[in-house]
Amino acid sequence: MKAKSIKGKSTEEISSAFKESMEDARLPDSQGFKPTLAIVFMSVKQDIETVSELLDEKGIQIFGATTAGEFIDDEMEEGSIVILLLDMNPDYFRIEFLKTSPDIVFEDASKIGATGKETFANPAFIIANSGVSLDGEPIVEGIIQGFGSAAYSSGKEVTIFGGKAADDLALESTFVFTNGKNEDCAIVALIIDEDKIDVRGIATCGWNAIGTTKTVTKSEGSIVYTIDDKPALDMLMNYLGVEIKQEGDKEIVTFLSSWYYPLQLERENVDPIIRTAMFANSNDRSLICSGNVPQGSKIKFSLPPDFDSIDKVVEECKSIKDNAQQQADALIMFSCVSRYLSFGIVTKEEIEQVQKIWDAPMAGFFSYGEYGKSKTGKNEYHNNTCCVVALKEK
Amino acid sequence: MDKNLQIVTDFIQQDPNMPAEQKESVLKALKSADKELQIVSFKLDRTEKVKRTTAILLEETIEELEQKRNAVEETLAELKSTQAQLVQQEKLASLGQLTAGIAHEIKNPLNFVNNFAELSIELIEEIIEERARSQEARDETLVDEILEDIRSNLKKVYEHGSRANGIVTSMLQHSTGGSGKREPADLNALIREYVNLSFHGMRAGKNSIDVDIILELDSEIKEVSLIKEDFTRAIINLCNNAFDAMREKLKMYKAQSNNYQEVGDAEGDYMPKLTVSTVLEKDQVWISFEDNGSGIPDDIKDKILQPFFTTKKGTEGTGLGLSITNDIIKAHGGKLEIQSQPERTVFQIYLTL
Repeated sequence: MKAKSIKGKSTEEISSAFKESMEDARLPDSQGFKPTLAIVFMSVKQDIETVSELLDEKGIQIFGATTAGEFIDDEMEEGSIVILLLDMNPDYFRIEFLKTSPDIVFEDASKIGATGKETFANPAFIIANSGVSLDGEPIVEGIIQGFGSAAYSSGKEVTIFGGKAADDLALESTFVFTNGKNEDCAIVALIIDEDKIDVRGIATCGWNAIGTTKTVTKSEGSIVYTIDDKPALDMLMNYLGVEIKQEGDKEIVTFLSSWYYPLQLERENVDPIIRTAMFANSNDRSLICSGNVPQGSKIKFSLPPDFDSIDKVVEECKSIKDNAQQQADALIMFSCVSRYLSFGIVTKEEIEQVQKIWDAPMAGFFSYGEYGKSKTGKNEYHNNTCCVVALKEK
Repeated sequence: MDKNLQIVTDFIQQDPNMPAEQKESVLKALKSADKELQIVSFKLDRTEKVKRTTAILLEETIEELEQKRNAVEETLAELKSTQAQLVQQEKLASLGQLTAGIAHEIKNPLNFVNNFAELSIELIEEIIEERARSQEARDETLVDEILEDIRSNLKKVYEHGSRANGIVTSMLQHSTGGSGKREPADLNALIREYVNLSFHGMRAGKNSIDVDIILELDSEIKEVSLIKEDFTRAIINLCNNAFDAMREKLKMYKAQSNNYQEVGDAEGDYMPKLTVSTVLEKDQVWISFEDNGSGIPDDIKDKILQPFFTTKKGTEGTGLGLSITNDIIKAHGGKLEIQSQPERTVFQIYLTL
């Protein structure tokens, strides 16, 4: 399977880059590059419709999401468009797109899981969803349930990786799109036949829990009202010295400074899971987190990783290879935007080093949430995490 | 680009004499240096930020831990107070049972006192009757005999009265507590008295059972230094535990379970037996309480000396009896060992003289 990565700061630029990459397709011996699938990550500022049409005209299927920054190979961009073109055999994949809403997202995700099971004996799911407030947990759980609780005969768990679309940190409207469809609350799934394409990946975090364990004494879904019986927002502000920026008389404000210091939910016998406080309610002093935080959960505050955690990410990515020489045809990375906020220009190092492990064309974006399995965990919805997926035709 | 590096870059770029290749190399190096500088600057900035946050977090955490520590200390004080209350309750419960035993026990000598006194009154009536007769009709021999009987009766009255007095004195000593100091005591006599009191206490209570009490006391034992009011509590407790164990076993036997709602179904007879023995072994005294109850199950053997551990349901047992007993023995510099198998349990006390 061949892969080519292209980028552009505008639809014109991407159009040129695309045309150039398609030149190969016109080689007389048809040995040229004929992409069938495009992984498209672009800023909300860009024109989704035009880019989609460009690809659709050539019969290329689209898996697309908006971002808070995107990268192609080892180049980081903002406000631009990146596309990873793949000439994957159309029999080996299928794209599903479902508009959804918070109250039926589990059922919709189940449908995707069921579709995967009906389409291929061993499907892998690469997913993206839009909807800033849409909780990612029911999406993973829905896919697993729809797929069926039985693991493969090999004992392997179903492969799910992906990211939550973003909107350049505006936290207003995010989008996922495919051919002829573009929604601000939807799931797009690239279902791949794992019997034909090797799909492997890993989710790594690196945020370190610190301080004493606290209890979420009152919460509802992703809204945390009190921690140790004290207002959640005030707890965060007192313990971490962060402040909210009052935006006029808006009750709910974005809380970007807290993205450095997410809550770490402790759980028995599995890795802890991160939940970032994305918004704060300045009236009732609650925190609106990026995912479900059950009442009674034990949590700790956490500090961003040291810069050497990039080495940890690299090591974990290496660990999923069967051997040092193993290659990939293409790479997709979903990296939480809080990593970019935390690592800044050093983030490029992470991207560079990860790409070097596989030495294949890579596309990725900075997301508002990630889906994947960590080294010791199970398939889950994460925050502050970097998920890397390697694809290789068998 | 950093403004100083920019100056150097501009200078190099404008230099007409530098060879192109060299220029490119230098400019590349400058660009690289600028990138490094940006990275270092960012890292420093973030490190400062995280350092500040860590300091704030540390302060808040210290305050939180201080508050928690105070709360823990208060709880501990409360627990200690509650524990003291429970120990006192245990003492009163044990005293209550003792009182019942004593009441039971006193009845006996008082019966004798009453009987002999009543008899003596009758005998005096006879003397008065005899003395009312004329000198010739009076039977002086009979009067002498009656006087002798009266004397004998009054001796019995005195004997039993003293016995009752002794019992009350012991009880008073047990309830009010003695000096708390170890004093020489006749161990065998104490064992005899308090095993007896425990037995009568049990008999006076509900669910009383017949128990064959056997005392095998080594006459070589002279006096042992004991805190009487504490040691006697230990004796009572060990006896009561044995009675409880044997009562439980008795419930399983059909023929004898006429005190209970549920009828056991084991055939044959079971006679509860408590053997209390003392042995002088060189510089040690061994005191053992052996019962033929069902034995202590293996899974609770190492728990029974723990405070508040009880197999009794509801409010029947505080779970402190054995724990207090063990503490009393340890306070005497002694040791309590337990051996148990089905049909035979022995609580053995070792005291060094």
